[in-house]
Amino acid sequence: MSEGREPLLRREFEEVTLPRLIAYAGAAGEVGVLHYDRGAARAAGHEDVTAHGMYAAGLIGVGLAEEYGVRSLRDLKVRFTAVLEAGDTPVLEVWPGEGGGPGRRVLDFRLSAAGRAVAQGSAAVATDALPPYASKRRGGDA
Amino acid sequence: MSAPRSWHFEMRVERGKIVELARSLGARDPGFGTAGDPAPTLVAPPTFPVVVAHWGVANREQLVELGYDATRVLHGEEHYAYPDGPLEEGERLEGETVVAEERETDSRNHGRLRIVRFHTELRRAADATLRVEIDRTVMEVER
Repeated sequence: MSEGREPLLRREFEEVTLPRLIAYAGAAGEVGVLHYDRGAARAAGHEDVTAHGMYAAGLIGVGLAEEYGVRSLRDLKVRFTAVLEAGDTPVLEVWPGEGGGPGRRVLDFRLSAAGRAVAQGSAAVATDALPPYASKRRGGDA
Repeated sequence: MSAPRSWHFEMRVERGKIVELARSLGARDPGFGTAGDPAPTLVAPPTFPVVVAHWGVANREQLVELGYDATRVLHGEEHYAYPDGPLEEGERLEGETVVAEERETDSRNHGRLRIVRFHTELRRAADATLRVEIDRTVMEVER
């Protein structure tokens, strides 16, 4: 997807922490023991509590929406490949994708932490919903 | 009694829940209400439909009802399709989740896999306009 290409966007999110995961669990209404109980997480083979898959997907969605416009997103497909854990600092990278068409731009992305891919996939944004500041560097038509 | 294969629900896109979810994800945009002067009508983050758990349909509970061991479930894929753009504050929605596919396969790392895909459609309550389709694929691993 990305090797050898400079990303259009690279955003480093804040470190994953237990309080952050608890806040997310409350907001989303998805409470699982691996996300708040360090003992349970370690017993399951993790170094620390793990993030919900949808926490990772949520970071991707927010990262894309804030770059391309909060009303721009039309399609978001995320494939999960590893788990985020407390202590990780997730990084979102975005590249131009294949396809699209009039008024629609396709983007490929990867969310990684400590050099491992956590999730990857593709998104489509409506170019007529891009904010005025969206530049060609961001892949926008505006 | 057989397990349910579909779940119907209603939900409203609430301003406070938009801000709460966006803030938990580190968002910083007036459109989400998390920075600067909040927009008069907030836009929901792309993955906002996860909050349907608060409206009576938690995916973990669906899995348990279907006979899956939720402690051995991994999330495989999640796909959102918004034909007219993201949800906005104040929208009243009706939704239905169905079990779209179930299959089994073997994995070198995880042994026997039971794979299930849930398909959800959220429609505007007033006129049944499709607002978002969601496909969620999860896997119960053997080890």
